[in-house]
Amino acid sequence: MTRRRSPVLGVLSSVLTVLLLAVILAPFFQVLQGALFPQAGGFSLLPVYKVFFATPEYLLVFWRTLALCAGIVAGQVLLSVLAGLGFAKYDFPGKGLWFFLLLVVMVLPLQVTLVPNFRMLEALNLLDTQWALVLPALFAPLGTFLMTQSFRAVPDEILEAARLDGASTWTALWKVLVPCGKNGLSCVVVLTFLSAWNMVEQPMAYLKDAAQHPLSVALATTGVRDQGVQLACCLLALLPPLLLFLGLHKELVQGIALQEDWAGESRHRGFYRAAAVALVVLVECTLLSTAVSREMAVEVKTARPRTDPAQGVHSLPLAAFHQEEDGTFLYLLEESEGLLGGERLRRTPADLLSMEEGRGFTTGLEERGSYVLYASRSLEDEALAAEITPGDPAPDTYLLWAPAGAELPLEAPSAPAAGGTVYLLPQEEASQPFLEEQELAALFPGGEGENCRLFSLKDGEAFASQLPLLGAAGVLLLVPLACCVGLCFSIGKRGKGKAKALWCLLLVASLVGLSLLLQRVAIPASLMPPETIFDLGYYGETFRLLEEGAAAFSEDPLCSETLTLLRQRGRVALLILAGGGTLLLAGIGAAGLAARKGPGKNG
Amino acid sequence: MKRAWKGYALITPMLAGFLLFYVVPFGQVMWDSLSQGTGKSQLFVGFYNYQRMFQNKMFLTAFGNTLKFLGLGLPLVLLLAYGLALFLKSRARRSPVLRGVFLLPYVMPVAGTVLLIDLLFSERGLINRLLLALGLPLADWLQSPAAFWVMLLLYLWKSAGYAVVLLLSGLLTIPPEHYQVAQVEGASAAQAFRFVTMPQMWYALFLALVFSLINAFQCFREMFLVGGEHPHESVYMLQHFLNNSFENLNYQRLSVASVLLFLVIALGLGLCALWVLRKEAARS
Repeated sequence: MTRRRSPVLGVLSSVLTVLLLAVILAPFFQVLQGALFPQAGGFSLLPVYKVFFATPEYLLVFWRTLALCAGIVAGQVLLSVLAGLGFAKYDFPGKGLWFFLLLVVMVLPLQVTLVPNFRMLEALNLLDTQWALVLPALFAPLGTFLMTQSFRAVPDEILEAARLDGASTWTALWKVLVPCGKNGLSCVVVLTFLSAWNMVEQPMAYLKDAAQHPLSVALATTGVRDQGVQLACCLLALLPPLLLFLGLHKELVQGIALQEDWAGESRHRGFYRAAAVALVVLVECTLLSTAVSREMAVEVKTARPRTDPAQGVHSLPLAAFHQEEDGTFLYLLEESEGLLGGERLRRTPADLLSMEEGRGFTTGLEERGSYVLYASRSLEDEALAAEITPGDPAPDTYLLWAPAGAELPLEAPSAPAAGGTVYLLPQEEASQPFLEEQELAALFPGGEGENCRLFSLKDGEAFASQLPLLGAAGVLLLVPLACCVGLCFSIGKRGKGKAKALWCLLLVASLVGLSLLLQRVAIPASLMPPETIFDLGYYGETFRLLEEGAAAFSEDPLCSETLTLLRQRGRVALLILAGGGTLLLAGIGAAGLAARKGPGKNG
Repeated sequence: MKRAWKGYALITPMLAGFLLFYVVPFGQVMWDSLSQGTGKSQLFVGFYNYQRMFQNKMFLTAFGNTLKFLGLGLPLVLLLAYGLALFLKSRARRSPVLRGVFLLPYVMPVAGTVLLIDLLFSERGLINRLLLALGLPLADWLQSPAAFWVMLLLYLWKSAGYAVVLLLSGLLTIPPEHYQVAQVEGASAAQAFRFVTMPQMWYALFLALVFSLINAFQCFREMFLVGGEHPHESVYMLQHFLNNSFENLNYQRLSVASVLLFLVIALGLGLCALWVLRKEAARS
């Protein structure tokens, strides 16, 4: 084909190529854009934060699905390699018939095989278990078909040679035949993984409990909550197939085409590196999101409704009726049905019929339900919540920051502060734990306290004592990444077995350390930012106010104590962060240098 | 026959599970399709179930739609893929990368595709917004006869790449000398295609057809997730019918439809295989 072509045709075909690429790739960008620019509201990382850092559910389902798919792929590879060898290189009666049967079943739509599978699973009593998803997928005929085709392409002479060298069938299979049929094998891996990853009908038919569903179904059926979150989840679901595809696409293309260039050899350094990094990052996200969801659970104080049987109405303290932009709402605390259980808030609209002695009357309440009175943060539908267990009252000191112009209904020592005034309010008997909303409501019964901020010095101290722990957690969060980088340096190089083992060991150790450390973190709920845990501006604002207030009343013993503790622990945390970071950088640098030198030494 | 038992030993693990989960219970399904009632009171009624099935309006709709989808989709996908494969062959140097890219839509997870369709074709989706901006009349894409074409488009986008890879590899195995001979003999491009390319492509086309068929049936997932159990009538497929019978635990209807589909596919595949074998035999 050495015909000379006109330049017009060349340009035309280039344009066509670009157009094709655009048509194929545009939808992927659409998903990415939908996740990062939700509702045309501009760039926002909130959906990504929600999926990857705030709620561990998505990631836990992800891991379970991944394990399920890995199991299916491993089993399918083993079975189809054996059967492929049998069909391709041996003769036995009935071979043609069995193979045609495999082919026909392979083409049958899933719905046809769904029923036979269902019947057998029912008979074996395996419905509603994960085995119901694994077993039929293990014995799907596609893998055998592909492996047979690809083993047929391997010349018999290679096998004969191996046999003459004294290799058993088993050794010949794994040492000779499988490496030769690696394209077919990659094809089996990718296609089996894809069909397992995309299972929809099987889980919906075999598993009644929605908590057992894999990611694909969970993603597609959990209603339309938030399209941004769904698309961010979709990114998560896209990651494994995409990585697998990018890593194996060359083999995949040849495997689908049933070709084997059994002399060729290829390396997948980039694929392994990307997979390692993605794996570590996702494990860290899982650990982190577990801790974050625990810390960010809204602490709530609840009340049960009182029933007036004569009039058929229920009453609740007025504080339970939350005035919002679009009406009055009640928040009911209820067990969630999700994977992790726990308690969640449910927002229900309510009509306030009448008021009497601080109680509001309404209808249609759940008599045994717990309704939220006060919360540590602003309430949100479906937010994780934890009911506080009241402790014995203890002495505490509150710092009240009020914006300029606000009137305080009681006498207290005051000092000017940025944008307002700080008041020192020593408490003999402060109810434990501290709930800002409740105390503010007690201070300002008329509701003027909306723009004020109230800090408990006790909580401030508790936070200060957590600071070094947080610094250490920050460093430990980086250690696995550093180990991963080290591992990436040694991946794809021969004779680095020891280094690889060392890096892996370090990686696992640091991850275990991280999870242990994160379990010990307990930040007082009153100091948590309202939206995301990484809202650094909020922390900065809070600590500026806290520090300013404590400094203004340095003659008060508790204030000065808190101040010194806050400053000292803050310094320790910074030191840990800086020191750890430097050490890590030095370690990575050393590993990089060693990896550079390695091949030089070997020649 | 020293090798016979070894061959059987090798395929046994696979075959045992295959028989257990696919073949044996399918026998049960066949028996179900020919009988009424369950358990011990199950009675053989011959083809009564089949007779009733052909009077079922939903089944006929589903069957017609499926045939229409396959009848339009398969030739379209093969033509498109053939065209693309020929185009890619002419730029063989860049094709390794391009071939990989073509498979990308195929690996896109179902959930992603579903969200994508929603994003594009829902009432307030991108397409409608575009139409609005251009001042053209809007359409409710997913709840009108247009749904069928949306699904067809999705099918083409998703699985044409797979067929392209199969066909391209078939094209690349044709020895270039054949074309040189054709050129020397003064054949036009069309003649070269007709007499050199086509006769050597039957097997590749058959494989592409088989896998396109598999992919067409897989496309149902998206339809199901987009349209739910009762989508617009134009995309009510045989699989919806099967699925709904399954939900209602109507084993008789389910098994009749399964057996019918099995027979149609086995017959169609068998005929195609025979045709290809004859063409292949004629070639050599």
